[in-house]
Amino acid sequence: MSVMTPCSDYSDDWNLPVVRIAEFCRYLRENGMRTTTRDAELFIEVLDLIGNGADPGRIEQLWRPIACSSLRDWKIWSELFRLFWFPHRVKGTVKVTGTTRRSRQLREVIEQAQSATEAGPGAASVVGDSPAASNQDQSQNTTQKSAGGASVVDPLGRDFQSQWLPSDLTTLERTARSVRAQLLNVPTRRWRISSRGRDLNLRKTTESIIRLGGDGVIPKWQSHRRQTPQVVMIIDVSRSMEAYAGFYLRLARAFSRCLPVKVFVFHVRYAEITDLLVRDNPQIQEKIDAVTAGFQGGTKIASSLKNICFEDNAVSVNRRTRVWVFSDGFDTDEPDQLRSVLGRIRGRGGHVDWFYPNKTVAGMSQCIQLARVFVKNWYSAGNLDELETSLRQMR
Amino acid sequence: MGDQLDSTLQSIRTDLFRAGYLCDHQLAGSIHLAMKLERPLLLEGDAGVGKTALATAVSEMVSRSFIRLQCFEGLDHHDAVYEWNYGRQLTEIRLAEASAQRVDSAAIYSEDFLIQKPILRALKEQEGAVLLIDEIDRSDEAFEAYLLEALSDYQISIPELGTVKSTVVPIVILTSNGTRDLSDALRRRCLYHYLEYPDVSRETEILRLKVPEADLHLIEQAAQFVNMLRKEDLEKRPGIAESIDWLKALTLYGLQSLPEDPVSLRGSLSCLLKTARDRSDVSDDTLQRLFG
Repeated sequence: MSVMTPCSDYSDDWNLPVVRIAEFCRYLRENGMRTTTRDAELFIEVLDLIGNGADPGRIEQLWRPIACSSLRDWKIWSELFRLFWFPHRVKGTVKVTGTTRRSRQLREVIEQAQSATEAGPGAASVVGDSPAASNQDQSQNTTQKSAGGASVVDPLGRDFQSQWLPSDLTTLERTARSVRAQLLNVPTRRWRISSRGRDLNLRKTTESIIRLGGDGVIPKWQSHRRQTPQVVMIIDVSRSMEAYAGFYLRLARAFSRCLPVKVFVFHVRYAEITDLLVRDNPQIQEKIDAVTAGFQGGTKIASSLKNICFEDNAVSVNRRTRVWVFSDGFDTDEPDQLRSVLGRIRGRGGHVDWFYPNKTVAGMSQCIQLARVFVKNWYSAGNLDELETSLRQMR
Repeated sequence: MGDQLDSTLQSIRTDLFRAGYLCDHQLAGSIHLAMKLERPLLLEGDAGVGKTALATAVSEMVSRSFIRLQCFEGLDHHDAVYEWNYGRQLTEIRLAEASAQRVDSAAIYSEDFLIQKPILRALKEQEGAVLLIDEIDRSDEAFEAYLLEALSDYQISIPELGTVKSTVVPIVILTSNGTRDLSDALRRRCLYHYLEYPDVSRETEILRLKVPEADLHLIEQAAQFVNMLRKEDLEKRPGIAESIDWLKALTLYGLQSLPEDPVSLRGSLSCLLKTARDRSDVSDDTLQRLFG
């Protein structure tokens, strides 16, 4: 059950000018909530219901079901309420979880997540990072750990950080559009009753004849059920992915403009950046560039996936869910934890596709080797050409 | 005025308690708003936290008829809203033909030949109703879009009849287990409440209410155990319904407190652990640890 905020938390000098409600709604929107004008009207209606001199704790309770529309909103509501109406009560230790102000958030989100738990490169234990391929690989392990996973592979054919041009984004968008055609409205083997169907559903039609005593027939048409997958892009922005994260974020931006996708970035924590990517202005590219700067060590792939898919309900995993992980597979979680999480995703019917910048899957970390069976497709994505080839093969 | 609100919320809690449902102030506030603002209430939360039970308790509280629409994949307006009674229409036509009368198409498509399904029934209920649209996330997006009119204006358009508007606005409760994301349009039209697992003290109260024959000490221990079990890395965490089942099982065993050796209770854990992986993951050592 939800936790009730104690009314005594608030000061007696509670003052609620109605004009500030509009500002409050804007503040909520800036923090990722979808507050509408109608919600503002409802806030006022609630105030009318309560009357003057209302206890702010009570108002917080009653506004909450109006303002919130998801678990994320529900969790951050109390803090947002306090931050806006009682800023003087906010101690230094209080901070808003989840996304913060949209307009300047992208870099902050990453930096906040990075600085929260990392002490520096190599600070985290590298439990799942040991490569499984061979002894030779084992001997390179130390180097890999310090340098990061993907950065030990051959240099890229193209340097994404310095050579990104508007034409590249166009290429990515073209690629995304072609993938969209492959993914959207894919007919499945199942049938569904549809008035626009071209096949007769014999069972239902026969039932209608029986129901009408043989005097008439109501033809029931059917068509193949179409499935629109829900794509969840999860991008590793840890140090080992420094050279690639910018590229993948651009890809995410291209996809978010033509497909219903949810985009998350992670290293030891995760953050959703979907709302940022769908905005179309020249500054967004600069922000995306900024995100890729200043990565630190330590990556928790399994924990992040678990939190995104199960703990925080950031996405609903079902058989329509396509989870695209963009990572080199270097993980500081326990090696078998990734297998466990991917197994749960598969258990719910979700598909996991893994995009890797490494040379081969066989050379990837131990946790990847353990979890391989739960990944439906492996796509090489070290550069744009590889990615285009991989996406063309996507089904 | 604030005192009046407090007493209203308290009376909602009391009435729901009488109906067999324990709720906190926040939830009482959400229910109060749903009734006052005439907005649907969207309940989300893990399976077994009491979403469906709340709807039945609310219907008992307000003494309105309870109408339930269980959503599933492929659900369409024929199952949810209305359907024409073609058999009766045909019989009517035959009778008219037999007596050499002209068939009046308007009469054929009148309310007499309309089979009312849950949503239409809820809208037309004279005394008002509590409509539970259960597991809305299991229905298709097309049906969700169809619901928008019903939920925002409390009216349904039937091409042959026109618009049917509710006489008394029903209290609509939607539940979702999060198997798919609901559209923003639907969420925007609803009040939202997230039901979480109760803490130990609340769960103890719930168990006392639901299994009054159980020993109080056993209830407290069971609530404590289930609460700790939920913190384990389980595929399917036990809900309140599972706690109640388990406590009933323990009571059937004639226990007045949990035994020293928890392994002896492994058989009863089938009430709490519902997947093979969870059953294998909760080892004897884990049980010992949870039993403290």
